[in-house]
Formats: sequence, C-alpha cells, structure tokens
Amino acid sequence: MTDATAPTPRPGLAARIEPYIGILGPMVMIALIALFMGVVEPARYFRVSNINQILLDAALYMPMAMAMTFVITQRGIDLSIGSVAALSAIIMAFLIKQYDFSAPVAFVICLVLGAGMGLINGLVITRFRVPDLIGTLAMDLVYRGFALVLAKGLVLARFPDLITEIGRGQSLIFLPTPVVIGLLTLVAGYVALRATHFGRYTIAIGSNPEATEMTGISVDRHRVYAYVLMGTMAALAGVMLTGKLNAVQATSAPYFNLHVIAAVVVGGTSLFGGRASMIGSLAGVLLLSMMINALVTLRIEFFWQSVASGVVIITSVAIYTWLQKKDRDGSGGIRAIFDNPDNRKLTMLAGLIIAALILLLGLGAATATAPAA
Amino acid sequence: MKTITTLLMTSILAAGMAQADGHLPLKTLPDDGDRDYWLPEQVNAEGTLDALQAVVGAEAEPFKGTLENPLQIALIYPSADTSDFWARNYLALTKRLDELGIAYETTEFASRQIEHSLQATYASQVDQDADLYDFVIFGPSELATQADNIDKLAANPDITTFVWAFHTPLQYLENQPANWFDFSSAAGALIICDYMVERLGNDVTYAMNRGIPGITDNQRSGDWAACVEEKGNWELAYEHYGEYTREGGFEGTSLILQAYPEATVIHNANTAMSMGSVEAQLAVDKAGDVFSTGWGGTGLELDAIRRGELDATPMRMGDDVGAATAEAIKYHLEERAEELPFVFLGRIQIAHDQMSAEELDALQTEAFRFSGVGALER
Repeated sequence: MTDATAPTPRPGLAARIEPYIGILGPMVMIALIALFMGVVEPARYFRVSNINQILLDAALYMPMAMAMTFVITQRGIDLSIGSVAALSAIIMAFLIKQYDFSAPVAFVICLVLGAGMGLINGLVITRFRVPDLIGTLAMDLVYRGFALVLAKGLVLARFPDLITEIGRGQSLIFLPTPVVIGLLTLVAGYVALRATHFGRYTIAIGSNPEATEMTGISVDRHRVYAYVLMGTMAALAGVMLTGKLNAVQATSAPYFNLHVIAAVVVGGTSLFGGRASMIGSLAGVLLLSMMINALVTLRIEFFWQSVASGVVIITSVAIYTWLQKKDRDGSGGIRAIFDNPDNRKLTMLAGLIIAALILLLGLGAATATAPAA
Repeated sequence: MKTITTLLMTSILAAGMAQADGHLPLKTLPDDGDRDYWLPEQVNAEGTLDALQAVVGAEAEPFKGTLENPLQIALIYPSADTSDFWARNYLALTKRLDELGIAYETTEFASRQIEHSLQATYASQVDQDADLYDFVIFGPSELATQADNIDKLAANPDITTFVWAFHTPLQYLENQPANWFDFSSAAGALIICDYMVERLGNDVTYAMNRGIPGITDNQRSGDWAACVEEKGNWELAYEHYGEYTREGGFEGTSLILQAYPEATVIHNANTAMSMGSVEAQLAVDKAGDVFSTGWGGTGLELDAIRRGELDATPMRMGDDVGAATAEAIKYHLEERAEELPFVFLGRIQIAHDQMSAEELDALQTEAFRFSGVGALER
C-alpha cells in the first residue's frame, strides 16, 4: 500500500526567508552603520556606556512603535502621540507634586488617561468618520492645548524614584530599566500580533477591511482597540520621558509621532496596511537611535541629522521593497530601465529641471551686482 | 593640554564644589524657602559682578600662561532655532579668546529649543567623552528639565562646566557648575517697566504678545506685567501667545487692534514678535497709535526705532555673555576662578525713540562689538 498524498516539496531558501524580509532593510542599514563606525570610531562607538546610551534613546520609542505597528497595519495613523504623552505625563506630575498622590497610583492613572485619549481618538475616527490623519492631527492640537492650559509655562521636576527608575533606572544591572520595559512591550506586542484574535483581525482589517467586515468581525471595534493601545503606550512613553529628564512640561515630546512612524515603516510595516513586523519595528527604532548617535559621535553638524534620517528611511524602505520583488531577474540591467517609455519621460523631466536650474543660476550670476555698502 | 589642565581643574573644581556643597547661598533671603533657586545677588561675592562687567567692557588683557595644545571646548545649546542669540554668544566667545591669546577648538552639539531629550543625549555623550574636552558650555533647553544633566556634567572632575542663558542656580543641585552666564530677563523686565511707567504714567490699558509658556516668558512678560500693575496701576486688556514668531506677533497685534482698541501699549516678548506687531500696525495704518516695545535690542529693533515704528526696548549688550565666558576661561586657567562672580549678568540698557541716531549707533556698536553690527557672518 502506498501513501496517497505526495510529500510536500521543501520550500526554497527564498521562500523560507520571505517572512523575515521586513527586517532585512533596517538590519542591512544597522550592519552598515556598525561596520562604518567600526572602521572610523570603534573605541568610542562600541564601548559599553555608548551602547547603553543608544539603547536608552531607543527605549523611549519602543512601546509606541509596538502600538503604532498595530495602528498602521490596520491602515490607520496616529499623529497625536506626542501630545497624549505630554498631557498624560503632565497630569501625572500634578497628581504627584501638587496633590501628593503616590507615584504608583499616579503612574497607573496616567496609563488609564492615555487609554482614554486613545479611546477618544478611536471614536472620533470610527464614529464620526473623520479620516485618521485629520482626526489625530486635530486631537493632537486638542491634547497639546489642554497640556498648555494646565501647565502653562510650568516645568514640573524632581519626581519619586519610581518615575526616574522607569525613565533611566539601572537597577536591573544587565540592562537599563526603560530598555527592559520597551523590550517587554515589544514581546507582548509580538505575541498579541501572532497569537491573539486581535492580532489576526488587525492584519485582516489592514488587508481588506470590507471583506473582514463581511466575515462578521467588528472592524470599527478593533480599530478602537488599536488606538486605545496606542494611547496607553504613548502615556507610558510620557512617563519614561518624564523619568529620563526628571522633569516634564507642556511642550515636551514634540516629534514623537514622526520618529515613531518612521521607525515602524522602516521596519517593514506597510503604510497601506495588512503587513506587520514587530521585530522590524524594533530594528527601525534601534536603527534611528544608532544613526543619530553615530552622527554625534562623529561630531557632524546637527542639521545633517535630519538629512541623514531621511536618507536612511528612504534607503531602508527601498532595500526592503527591492528584496520583496518577486519578478526580479536582473536581466536587461540599466538599459532595460531606459527601454521603458515612462522612465524615459521621467528622465527627460529630471534633465529639464536640472538644465533650467543651471541656466537660471548662470543667468543670476551673470547679472548679479555687488552688494550695496 | 588635557593632562596639564586636569590638576589645575581639579583644584579649581574642588573650590567650586565646596561652594556648591552646602556653602550656597552667600546671603539668605526671607523667601528662600518659597523658591527652588538662588538669586544672583545671593551667590555672588561682593563686587565680583561689577568687576567682571568692567573687564568685559574693556580691552582684553592677554592670557599669562602657556598651553601645550588648544583648549577643547564643547558647546551644548539649542542653536538650531532661528534666534541669533547663540551664534552671537559663540562669536563673542571665540573672538575674545583670540584677543586673549588662548588657542582653542570647539565642538558644537546643537538642537532645537524644545528638543529636551536630544540635549540629554548630548550631555550624556559629552559626559562619557570628558577625556576629550577641557570645558563644556551648556545652554539648557529649559533649566529644570536639564537640571540633572547640569548636575551630571558638573560632577565630572575631568571637565569644567559653564551654564549659558540662565542665571538662577537651582538650590537642589548637588553639584553646581563652575559659573553661570546670562542676561537677566527679570532685570530687563523691571528696567523697561520703570522706564514705561515713568514715561507713560499711571492707569494705562495694555496688551501683550507673549512667547511660549515657560520661565523666559514668565520673566519677560509676567514680571513686566506684575511690575506695571503694581507701580502704575496698569490694566491688562488681552494677552496673546505668539510663540516667539513674527506671524504670532502680527496675528496677536491684529486681534488687539481690532478687538481691544482701548489698549494703548503692546508689550512684545521678543524681536520676531515685535517685528510682526509693527507690520500689523503698518498694515492697518495705525503705526504710532500704540506704544510698542521689543525685547533684546537687536539690529532689527533698533532699525524699527530709527524709523519711528517701535518705541522702546530693553537692549542687551549682546556680546557680554560670550566675552565674559572667554574671560572666565582665562581666570580658570590662571587659577583666579575665585575672582569670578558665580553668576555673570550682561548689561541691559533701554533704547528708545527719543534717543538721537548717534546714541543708538553707539549702543549698537558696544552691544555687538565682537559679533558685528548687522547680519551675522560665521
């Protein structure tokens, strides 16, 4: 008697590594930065205190990157996280400093407040049908406004040990406390994404929300869940920032949203939804911290940081996209690119813009007069 | 240089640490418990501030010692914002060092004003690289927010720490920096308050274009408002937060002119807003109807005063802070740090529309004697 089913052929290497392609882009960039710094400034870049510094900087963004991975995978976006972090941390600070709440109670209240703000975001988006971008941008103004109304110019400083431990503690010896917190949130996010209904529905909603709705899944409810998670993690980041600086004010956390979205997208989570990579988000966060640290270590002027950030983000996503292409065969090379009429027209447009620029600069230089004394 | 200066620095720091380590303040005040910072007059030894102000305003006397290698100076400051305050400080510092004959190399760690976390990162990196630097000049994004970082740098025995742009040493710092250098916005507010109350009299209705909520705005706007209300019984009609931008000043002034015509004074908390305020008045042909102030006495403000569009401004002798820092470096190298005021304050004078063109020019030349009158060149 023979077996009726033929054995399944063992998948090739490309098929086996495909699930991990998302993190290859940032991993390649991380490797390049490490290699470059290993050649240029190995002693200062790779010493323990500097690695600690990179991890501390990255830790602040880990919880938010975890939650943002869910939000973006569901085709959403949350631009209000900096304000949520600031407002919830300001309220926590007032509770501790002016109303003598104990730090653990104030900390938990802060997280619940963040969840509440996330809930409001989710309801604005799902009940009022305000697009995610506009809804969270508007709520960003609202939360920042409330923070300013409450704190005005006040800087609240010097918090109990629990808060500074969360922000910069070293009592766990092997890793700074905020790094442990950040990694734990990412692990929890990984498990939630892989092994819970919420995670599965998140990917389904991002892949095709209409089809998901038709299968009986409450798309809106699960989108609200993602925003609640996002708000909670933003509040946690607010506490971490407060602990790191041992101070908080209404204008704190100004660029959280762009940094976190960049890290998540660099990590391979698709802005168009349906594809998530929690490990990629961790890699994205580490990549951005490593890069900024490298620029400072090399004493490169501040303004180059934003140039380098943009270049690294584009390069990482481009590497990922290139690796993901299934019909890549390498035939034709550069020549094949220019055989495409669209590419020829775009090249012509680029040439025209460059020529016009050169012409105008030449014209300007020829007609320039000496500045008045 | 690093090894030679280490011993010197250690002894100087020991003196400074002794001062910080429970020996502040030099004078107590009844309301010390109500504040978490010392006032400059509490921590400066008698006569040291006046003496250094005189030195800074005079010709440079060259450094008497020798250096094996250039001094390494790290600057952590929010110089990526649009104000030229930091750039002028830097120019004044370096040009005065040149005049003093002190060789140096600088490394700048720039950020924007609101990037508190990035500044904390910079402070950590300079702290761990203290073997590279002799001095660190730290311009905190916000004093309380960066207090722990000031403390951390001040505690490092391998580096001498100066603080720029704040003049209120925090009482709770375990390790005080060597010296603080600033213009006092609080003093400026009182100077312009006294001038305006004397010139405009009592019972005036006023409005304000404030900056961003924070200690600076509290002093420039809040202290000024408290002063005019107390000394002249002035009444506030409206306060607009213009975020220190020209647009904010324009918008605020447009609102004030339209909705609060009873306000005859508009107090602006920085140059950009005062320029926006002037433009808004010109746009509705009301320039001169309202008494307008600026802050800082920058070239733009003085030009507006010359044109008759701005009425008065508390003018900082802008290059004093940078030049005083250079002098302080010399004093530290010459083991004369005890002659320095713990808190140096640059000079502030009122520039106003009743001054002659020559008087305004002389003020401007004195204020920007190192960084230069007009647009900056770096």
